[in-house]
Amino acid sequence: MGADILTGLLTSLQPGNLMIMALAIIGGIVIGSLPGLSATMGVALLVPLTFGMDPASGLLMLGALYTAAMFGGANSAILLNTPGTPANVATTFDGYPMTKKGQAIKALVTALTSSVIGGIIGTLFLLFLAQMLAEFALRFGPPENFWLAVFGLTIIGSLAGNSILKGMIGATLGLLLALIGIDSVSGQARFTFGIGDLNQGIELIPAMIGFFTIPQLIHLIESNSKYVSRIDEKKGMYKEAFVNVFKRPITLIRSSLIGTFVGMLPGAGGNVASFVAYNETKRFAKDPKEYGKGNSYGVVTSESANNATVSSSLIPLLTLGIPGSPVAAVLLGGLLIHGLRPGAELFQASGDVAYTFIVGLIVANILLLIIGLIGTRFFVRALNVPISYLVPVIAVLAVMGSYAIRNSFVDVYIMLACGIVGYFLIKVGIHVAPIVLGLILGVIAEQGFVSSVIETGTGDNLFTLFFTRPITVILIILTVLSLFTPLWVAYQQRKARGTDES
Amino acid sequence: MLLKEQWRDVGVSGVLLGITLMFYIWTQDLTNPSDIFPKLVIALLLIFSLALLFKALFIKRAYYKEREYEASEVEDEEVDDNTEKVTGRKWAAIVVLIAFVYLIPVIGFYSVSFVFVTAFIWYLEGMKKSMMAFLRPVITAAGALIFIYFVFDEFLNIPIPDGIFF
Repeated sequence: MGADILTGLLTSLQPGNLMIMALAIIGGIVIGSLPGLSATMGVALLVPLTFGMDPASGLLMLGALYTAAMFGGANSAILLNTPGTPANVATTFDGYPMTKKGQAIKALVTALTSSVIGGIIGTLFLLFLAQMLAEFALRFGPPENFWLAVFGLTIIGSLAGNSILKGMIGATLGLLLALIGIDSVSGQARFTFGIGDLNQGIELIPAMIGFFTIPQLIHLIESNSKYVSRIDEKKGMYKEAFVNVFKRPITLIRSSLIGTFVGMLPGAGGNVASFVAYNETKRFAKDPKEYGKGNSYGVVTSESANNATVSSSLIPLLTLGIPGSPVAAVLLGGLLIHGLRPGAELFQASGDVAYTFIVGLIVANILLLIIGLIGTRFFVRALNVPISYLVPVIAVLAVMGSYAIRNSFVDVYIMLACGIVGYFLIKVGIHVAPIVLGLILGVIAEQGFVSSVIETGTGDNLFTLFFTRPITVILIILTVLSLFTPLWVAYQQRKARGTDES
Repeated sequence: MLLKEQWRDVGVSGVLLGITLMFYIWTQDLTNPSDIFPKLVIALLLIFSLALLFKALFIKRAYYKEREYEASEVEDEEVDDNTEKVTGRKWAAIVVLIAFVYLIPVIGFYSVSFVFVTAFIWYLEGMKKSMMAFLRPVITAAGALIFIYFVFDEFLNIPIPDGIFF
């Protein structure tokens, strides 16, 4: 293994491979930044290009693009409050307020550094603990997925703004949206009103673009400012932002570990990971009220978690041959066209290529840091464009991004409807983030719940299935802790204040 | 006497109860097991809508607390909802967006987008009548569409929606 790792490192450091990865990283950042263009789409496009390359170089290119696309979405999330991918939604919570405070550069460098650290930690797990983690991931059945989704929903308290009740209403509306389409368990069409394009359900990306982009565009038009925000540039701020990420190592490592754990579970991904990590960071923080107002550690937690999922989502693919995410499924195609069969055989028969791919992800992360730091100087210039120019161009990109998902204009209508409804919901105090959270987790929760109910017909009763399996018990405890810790902390704070006053 | 925010939430809960009722009626057509989760979600929405209604009608102090919270929120709110100009711009934006999306399949993506971007920039810039005030939006629209052409059409091979024109 040691020799394979060294070979992999040397191969990925060859000038030709470095050049290929650098180009893929630039492409990945652009793809990630544009709402509607996903890492899956980018990797799928590059797979045929790798056909003529040697397997190691081809896989290095795909891995580099995947890594960079996951980070790329943070740029638009931070600068324009428009997440490039669903995994970057949580980045908007603190990233955009930082931009509004004139700290756009700090936010971008923080996102970049955290992404790189998260990516490297996830890759180390893939490198050394892949087999063990893959076996654990396989123990996640429908009841575990249901409880994971319920645990994810407990983050509403962190997203709801000033009314938890409205946060819950938002999440329930998201769950309701997730119900639209053909039920994956029974095959019955639900709430589709005979519109064929709705059979596949409400696509997450058009809905996300609508909920975040359109209200933001209208908000910008309402503001009397010429620019989104000023940019406060001072000497040494890049270094300061870089160093700042490491000042709370526990936040960074915990978020990366959450990302690694969630990423390897089939069905979950960067979007779930960043929400869960954000919730945990806020819960353990000494200053939870500062989150959502431009706390740089909110960006750290979201970005380190979502980039950690890049490598960990490959764990079931590389060790067992099971693609646990859409990108992993496309990468499976990439492996197969090079004659590589994922599974235990991959590491024995083609260990040099497999380890080059994995070690290459670490190299890609380091390259991403270099290219991203250079790129930040250009990305931030978007804030120098007047709002009157930004708004129409972003609107056109939002339309095109929504359409590009399935080449369906119904997605554009969904995007617009979600956007306009979202704008008015924000006006009445219902934030859009819980709706998107409900939409993301609704599918996972329902499949877990209904599959478990069906499973009870073949043996175990519902109670045994939902409440006695070891992982479900752990998830239930985490859910209860997540629900009651804020109440307990608030009670303790009130008690402490009462003691001080008396 | 109810506060403005309380009346707002009474209206919101009314709309939500309407949505709950509609979805409940639609759920009647579903068979087991595809109706299990929808009924659970509808029940949750009903509970939360009623809770909001109860809060709006009977818990006035919660709204005073919310006002305090909002006052302490981020200080960057430059939105001025009261001016007629801003309200006009907001509604113009919503109407123009709807018209833009509606016209794309009829006329074609590139032609509608070109007119939309050019006219919208010109409107947001204050409808000035100088040469540059027309030229800058035209160049921006052309640049944005060239970018979209290369990324989506050429590189990603996504069939751009066309209509009467292109």
